[in-house]
Amino acid sequence: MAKREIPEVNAGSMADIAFLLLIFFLVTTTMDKDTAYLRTIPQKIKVDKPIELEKKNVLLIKANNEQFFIRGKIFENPDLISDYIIKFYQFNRNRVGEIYNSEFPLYFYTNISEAEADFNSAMERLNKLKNAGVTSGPKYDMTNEIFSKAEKTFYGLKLYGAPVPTISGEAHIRIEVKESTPYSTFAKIQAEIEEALFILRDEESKKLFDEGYGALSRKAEQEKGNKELGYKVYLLEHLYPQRIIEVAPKN
Amino acid sequence: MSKFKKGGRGAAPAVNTSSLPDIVFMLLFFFMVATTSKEVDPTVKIDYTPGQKSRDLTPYKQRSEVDFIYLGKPRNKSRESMGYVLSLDNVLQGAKDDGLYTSNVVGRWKLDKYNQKPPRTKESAPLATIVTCVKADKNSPSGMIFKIRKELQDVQAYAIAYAVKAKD
Repeated sequence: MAKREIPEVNAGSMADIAFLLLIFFLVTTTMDKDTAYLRTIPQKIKVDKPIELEKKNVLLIKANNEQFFIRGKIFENPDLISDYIIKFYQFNRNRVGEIYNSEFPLYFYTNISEAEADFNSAMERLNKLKNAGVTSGPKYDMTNEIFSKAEKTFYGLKLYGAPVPTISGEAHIRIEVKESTPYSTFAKIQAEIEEALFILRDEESKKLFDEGYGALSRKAEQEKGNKELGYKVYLLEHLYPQRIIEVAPKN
Repeated sequence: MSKFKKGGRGAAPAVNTSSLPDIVFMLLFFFMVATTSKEVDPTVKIDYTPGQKSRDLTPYKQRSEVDFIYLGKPRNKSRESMGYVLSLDNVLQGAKDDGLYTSNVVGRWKLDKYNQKPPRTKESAPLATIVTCVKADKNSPSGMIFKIRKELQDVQAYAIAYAVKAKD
């Protein structure tokens, strides 16, 4: 029998099919990104007595349906909240040990030798566990977590190259809104906090690493395995920590 | 003496379109890679509030580590009297007189969603790290946000995000 030639497939409608798919994807997808402010909800802890906080360590931002209040005073221009937050963080930054009475949180220096000692002891404990043959389970996980935290602290603080100015551990921003306050007001406060922290960290980042904080944190997010980047971001977060308490509203 | 020949009135030569599918496919692949597919069209109307320096949630979406809660007024005209409602996967949860909505509905929804995830995802991302993004209308009451927050705290889903429209 003679060999028959295989007939060619008509590919003329290929473009039509591809167009159809293209249009389908164009219609069903969105280009605008979902953007939001990420926050962590604190764990529930039972305390018998509320902890007494020093007034200077609390930046209370209140809002009702019309007005913003900072530390009990009416704040006219909400766009300037970020400036006040920056002041809250920076007021005593260069006055370690000079000033004791202030309406803003005090700073102290963290010495690298302490962080190093913590790191070494954490590593020792982890190695002890490993030598005993424990490489899983809750005890190992906890020790490992402590170790990685100490590692980050040590290598992060080391990047600063000098005793690290650290804000008082109690210092935080407290948000109180009314139950009926519109979400836009609540989001505005969050936006101002985010802006203030970004400005502070960005300035520090440019000074220390010649690179903006935005670019740095984005890179750290993409390359999760890159420890160097992680340390840099950790240091910036240590210098200007984001501590926010959102208080459930009462009417 | 003309330099150019006055050509005869021949038909225009056919354009070669054989590379058209390639071009179209290229465009197609570009859109497939560059975009993320739309979340469900929410059954509530949401007017976003603007905000600066917000975080892009795309990486979380790609790892499917984010759930969305919508908070707004229903699109359906006949349900307008319900006021501000939650939309959990397009199921409306209306306000009640005794509370804002039926008890623990957000917590149960979050746990259900988590339990439906494949085991590999669960291993790499525990419940506490899966973000719950609240997309709220700019006029919705903050009290509802705090109710949502409390229920998430009760089920130990500690990551929350407040959606805004990026200004810069």
